[in-house]
Amino acid sequence: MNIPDDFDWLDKALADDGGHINDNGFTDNVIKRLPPHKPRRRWLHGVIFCAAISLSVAMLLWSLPAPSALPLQLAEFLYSQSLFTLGLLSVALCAAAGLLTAWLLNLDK
Amino acid sequence: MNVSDADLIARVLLDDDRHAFSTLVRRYQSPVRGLLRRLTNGDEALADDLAQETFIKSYHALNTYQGSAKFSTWLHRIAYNLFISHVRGRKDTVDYDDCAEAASAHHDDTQHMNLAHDLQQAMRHLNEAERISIQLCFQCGFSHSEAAEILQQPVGTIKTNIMRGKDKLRERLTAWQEVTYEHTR
Repeated sequence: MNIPDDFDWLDKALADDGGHINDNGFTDNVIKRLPPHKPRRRWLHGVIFCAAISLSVAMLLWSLPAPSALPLQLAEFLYSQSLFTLGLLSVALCAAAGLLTAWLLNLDK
Repeated sequence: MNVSDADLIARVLLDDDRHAFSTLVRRYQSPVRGLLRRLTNGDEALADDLAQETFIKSYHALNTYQGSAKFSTWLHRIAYNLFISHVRGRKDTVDYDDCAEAASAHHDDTQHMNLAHDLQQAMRHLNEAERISIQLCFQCGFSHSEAAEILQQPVGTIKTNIMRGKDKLRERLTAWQEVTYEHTR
């Protein structure tokens, strides 16, 4: 028998051999076998960031050089403030850092 | 809306989003299970066990997926490697010819099923490299380069394996060549 070259019955038979397999609970079984769910604690990143900022501010305040070594206006500002005001300044810096972190994390979504 | 694989993977990595991962599993369970069923010559239980392992392994290794290949290609490579490990580990105890007999025992006698049955029998006479190359390219729909990536072999080797495998299949299925030609004339 003379079979034309362009008729590839084998290609068709091979392709026909594959069909869709219904899920039938397969996916649920896979999910059940995964390790316990551990949601990523994004807020922890913010807390760590704020803590790092607070620590930096505290260290800065601790190691403030003599007024003569600072720019005049900055020295006047820092040394004219009470400890309470400097604390408030630290909190404001932390809040700003927290907002920045939250914004950056939202960008990843 | 059809969420892309990349988005789903990002959700799994960022939030350990199980819903996103289950969407990925649902999307690819059929081709992965299909490939493994063919590799195990129709042993559905074994194929499904290996398929489950494939998805669990992919979940743990998802952070190593770099996106240079398609996700399905990466997934099939894991499936193939698991199958190879399984065969190497149980070489003396698994008889895939028996698996094939069991799988084909319930086929009815329609022409299509007979061709599928004979094709399955003929596939058993190919060597492993020829069989897997044909299965990936014809039955799973991968390109030659994707199959090469899954098997980690040169594209030329895949093409050669396919050519040799198809020649062997044609030899063994000569009768079907005439029947299908007559049927379509």
